[in-house]
Amino acid sequence: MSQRFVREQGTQSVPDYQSRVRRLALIYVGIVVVCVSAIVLIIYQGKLLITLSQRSNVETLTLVFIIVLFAYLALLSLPGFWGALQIALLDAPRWFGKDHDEVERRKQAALGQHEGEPDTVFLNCRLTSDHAPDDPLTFPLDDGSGSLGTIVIDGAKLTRVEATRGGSNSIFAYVEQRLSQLVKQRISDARIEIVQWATISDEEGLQYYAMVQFSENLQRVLKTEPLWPTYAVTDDDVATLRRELVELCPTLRNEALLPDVEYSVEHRLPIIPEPLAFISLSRSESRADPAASMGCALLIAVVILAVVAVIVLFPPWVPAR
Amino acid sequence: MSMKRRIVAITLVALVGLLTAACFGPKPTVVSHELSPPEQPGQPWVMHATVKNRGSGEGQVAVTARLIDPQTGTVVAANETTVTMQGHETTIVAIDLQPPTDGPFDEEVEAEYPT
Repeated sequence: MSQRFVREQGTQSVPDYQSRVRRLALIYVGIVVVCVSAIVLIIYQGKLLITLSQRSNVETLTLVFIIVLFAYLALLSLPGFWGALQIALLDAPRWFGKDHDEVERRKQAALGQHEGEPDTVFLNCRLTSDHAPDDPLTFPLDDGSGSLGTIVIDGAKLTRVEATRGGSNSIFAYVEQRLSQLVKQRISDARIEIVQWATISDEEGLQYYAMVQFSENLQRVLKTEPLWPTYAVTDDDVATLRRELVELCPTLRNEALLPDVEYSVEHRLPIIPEPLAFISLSRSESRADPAASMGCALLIAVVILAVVAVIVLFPPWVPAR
Repeated sequence: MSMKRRIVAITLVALVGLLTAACFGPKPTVVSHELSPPEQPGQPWVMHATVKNRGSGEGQVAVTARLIDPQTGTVVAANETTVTMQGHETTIVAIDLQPPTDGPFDEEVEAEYPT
């Protein structure tokens, strides 16, 4: 559940990924629209809301906090809103019969080059080619309209080299999930999962990868079978994934126009609320997909807007002056 | 969404609506108003406003009457009175006004909640 909805949402198949990117773009637009609407509503109905808060012993400052919260959320989502607009503008010529490749080339031109260290994630196991175990596996992200980089699998390390600006770690999640499905067809109990996301926590990632490299060095010295869990990937698996990644390129270009809001996440559930929180339950995930985190933000914004709207439409009973 | 889940969701929303219905305040509207001149010199003008609570909630409503000079648009007299209204109740409120002249006036009456 947590893998599918929090860590790696919408990365099961190409249509899944396409709908995830569309959903993410709509989420950013939704957040900005909802937040701006809420701020306008609170300001426009200020007299009513302040009177209600004064009469009901609720701090009037709560209204300011809501405005600040919504303004912050809207500001945070503005790059996503702008990205969604860009996607719509760049895709618009296609709706009027323009050539698909030309549209994609224009989109590609809008993307700059990735700066800094290439994005990297680490698997719980090593993946090797079945006929050349020492050679890294490469998966070019190129559909003829321009290259979005290459996914290189070197044992337990997945790297996206020569990448364009933007995009998210979800492409790694897609590669992991599809390879997991393909390997499971031969080895039913195979378990392939991303366990470290270097863009979120590079220290932990490097620490983990050092252990994997240690096992590889030891294996070479001892001249034994792989010490770290290893699965072989066939040429057919590689060909299948390469074909799918070409199909995915237009979606990856859209995703690259959206901001990459990726963090680890912690969910806390206090059994006894603050300030007497003697017991509280918590659960953490190493990565929250932007569709999950921003989706939750949208949900909360909608709920708060709905509550404010209900209060404005049906003012509650308050004591007389 | 399955039918069973839909029924549960609708029931929950209805239950929340029902439980919170008692917490609502009134929704007052001025249905009509009539200005009566003073019966004797020195007495106030009286604005009789019929206020209807269109909601089921109860609470204190402020009814404000204003007399406006049509030539200048200046408010020449204004007064406010509060009345506690029950759900769906209609009440007539009398508001005294002391304009400095004998008119004519434009009349303005509004009912507000919360006060």
